[in-house]
Amino acid sequence: MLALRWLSALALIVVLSLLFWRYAHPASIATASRRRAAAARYATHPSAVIALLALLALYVIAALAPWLATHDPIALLPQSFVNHPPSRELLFGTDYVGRDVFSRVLFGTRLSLSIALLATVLSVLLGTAYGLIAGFVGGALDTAMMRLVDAFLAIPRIVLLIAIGALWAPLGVTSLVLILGLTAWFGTSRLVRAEVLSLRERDMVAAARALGARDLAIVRRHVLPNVLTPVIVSATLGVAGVIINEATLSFLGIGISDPAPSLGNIIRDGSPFIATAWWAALFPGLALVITAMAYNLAGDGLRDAMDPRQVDR
Amino acid sequence: MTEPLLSVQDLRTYFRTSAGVARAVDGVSFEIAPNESVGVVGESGCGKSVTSLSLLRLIQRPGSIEPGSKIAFEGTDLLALDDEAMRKIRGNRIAMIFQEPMTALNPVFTVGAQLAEVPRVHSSIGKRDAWARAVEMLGTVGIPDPAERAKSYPHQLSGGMRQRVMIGMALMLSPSLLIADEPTTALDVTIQAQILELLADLRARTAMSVLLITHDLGVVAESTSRVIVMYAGEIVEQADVRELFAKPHHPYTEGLMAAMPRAGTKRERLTVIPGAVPSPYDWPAGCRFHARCPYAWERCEREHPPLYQIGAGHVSRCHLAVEPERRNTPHVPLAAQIGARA
Repeated sequence: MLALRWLSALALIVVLSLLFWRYAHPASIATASRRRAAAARYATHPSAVIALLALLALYVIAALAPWLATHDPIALLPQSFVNHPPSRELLFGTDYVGRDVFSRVLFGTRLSLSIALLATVLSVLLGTAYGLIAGFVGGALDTAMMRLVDAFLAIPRIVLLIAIGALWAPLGVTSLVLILGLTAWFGTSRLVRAEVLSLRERDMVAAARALGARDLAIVRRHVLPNVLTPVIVSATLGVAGVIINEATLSFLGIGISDPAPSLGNIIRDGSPFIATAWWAALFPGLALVITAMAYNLAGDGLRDAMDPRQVDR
Repeated sequence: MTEPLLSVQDLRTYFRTSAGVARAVDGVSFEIAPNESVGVVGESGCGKSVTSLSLLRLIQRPGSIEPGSKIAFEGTDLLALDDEAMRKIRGNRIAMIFQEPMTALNPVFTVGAQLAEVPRVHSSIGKRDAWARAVEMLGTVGIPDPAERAKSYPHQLSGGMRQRVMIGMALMLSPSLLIADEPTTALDVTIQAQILELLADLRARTAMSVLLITHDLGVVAESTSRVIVMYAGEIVEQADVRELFAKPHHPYTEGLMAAMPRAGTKRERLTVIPGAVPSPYDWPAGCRFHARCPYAWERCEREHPPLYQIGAGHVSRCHLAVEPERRNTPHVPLAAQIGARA
C-alpha cells in the first residue's frame, strides 16, 4: 500500500506541474482571452461539463479512499459475510471470499486512475518525442520510424499487451505502468508527426531559420508549443483507453493480482457469481464505465473547445 | 565603384526530383553595393525567391546550389562556410523578411518575446536587456506605445503592424543586408506605401543594403535605385531604375511595364504577356522568352542570347541589342498563335 500512496502522490505532482506549466508559464499557450473563449466553448457542452465534474469527484474519491473506506479492502470478513448482499453496513455487499466491495472499489479506482495517468504521461512523452524527431528530421529516418509505428499499430493492442505481460509476469504496479505506457504512444507519435510536418513548412520556421535560429530552438519555440493542443486532447482521450486496457489485463489475471484491488480484478472476482451475487461485479463495472466515459466526454469537449475550426456536431 | 557588399557569380540552384532536374536559378550574377537598394522583379516562378533563399543557403532538399556558383559577402565566400558559421551570418549580417507576416510570426508568443529571442540566439545577452532592446526596436519601426504593444500576440495586431514587427525582428542585430521577399504583397496599398517608406528610412539611417524582391514594378520604382529583371531562372535585364523605366530594352521588361495598370489612361482591359513562364524542368532552347516575344525571329530559337551591354550599367539578354531594326516589325507571339489555334 505504501507504493500505491507514493504513486498517487507522484501522479498528482505530474498533473499539477503540467497544469502549472501550461497555464502559469509566462509564455503560455493561450492568451487570457483565448483561454476564456476556449473555456466558454467547453461550457457549451453539458456532457463535457458533467464529465469534468465527474472526473474531479473521482480523483477526490481516489485521493480520500483511505478515509472514505468503511473496511479494510483486503481483510476477509467472517465466513457468514461471504457474498453478502448490499446493506447499510456493506454498501456494495461483499465478494466470494467476504471482502467489502465498496472499499475495494474505492481503492481499485485509486489504483486504476494512478496507473492510467502515469502510463498516459509516459506514452505522451514518448509519442511526442518520437513524432517530433520523425517529422522534423524527415527523409529516410522518418520513413523508417513511421513504418515501425505502422508495424506496432498492426498488432491489436490487447494482443500486444497480453504477449508482453505474459513474458514479463508477474507484473507489479511499476511494470504495469511501463507496459501500458510503452504500448500506447503509437497514435500520439503519428499525430505529432503530422502536425510537425505542417508546422515545419510554415513561414515562421523559415523566418526563424533566416534569423539564424538553431534546429533545437526552432523545435522548442515554434514546433513544440504548437503541437501541445492536439497532444493534450489525445492524451485525455487516451487515458480512457489505458484504463480499459489496464482493467482488461487485470481481468485476465495478467495485471494487478489479488489481493490488491484494481477495477479489473474486482470485476473478475465478482463475475463468476453474477447470477447470485450481482453486486460484486456490477459496482466495480459501473465505476469503470463512469471513469472511462468521463475521460472520453471530457476529451471530446476539450477537442471542440481548443480547436474552433471543428464545427459542433 | 566601391567594393561590393554582396557579389553573386553564376549562381545555379537546381532541384533534383524524380520528375527531373528543375533549374530554378540558372546562372545568375549580380552585385549589391553598401547602402544600395536593389529590386528584383519577375513573374511567379522566375526564380526570384529561390535566388534570395540561396543567398542565405536556406534551400531545402531536394534543392541544392550547384558547384561553380559563388556568393561573396563582406569578403567571405558564403558557400565555403560550414553550417554553424553560416548560421551566424543569418540574422546577424544578412536578414530576411517574408511576404505574409501572419504566418511568419509564432502565434503562441508575444511579439516582444519574439523580437527578444533574436539577439539571444546570437549572443548571451540577458533576458531583460533583450526585452528592452525589443521594445526599443518596436519604437524604431514606428509602432506606437511600444512597451505596451510588445506584450501583444500577433493576432492582436493589424497586418501592417505585424510586418513592422517582422522588419524589427530582422533589424535587431543591425544586419548589413536585408532581403525583403514581397514584403508588401499581403498588405493593402496605403499600408504598402508606409512599409516601403519605413524601409527606405531605415536604410538611410543604418547604412544597410536592401534586396527587394517583388512582382510589382510600382514598388520597385518607388524604393530602389537599381533593378534586376528575372525571367526563367536568368537575369534578362539590369539597369538603373530611371534608365529601365525610360528605356526598357528587353521585350519581357516592356511586357511587364505594359501590363502595369496606369492611372489616367483609358483601357478597357489590361495588356497581358501571352503564355506563361515555361517549366524549369525544360527551359526552351535559344532565348527562353522567344515563344512569348513579339519580335522573336529565327535566331532567337537557335541561339541563347548573352547579356549584351547596351548602356552604362545597363545590360539586356536580347538579340535586339545587335539587330535593333527587328524592333520595327512586331508580330503575334508564338504562344498567342498557339493559344488562338487551340
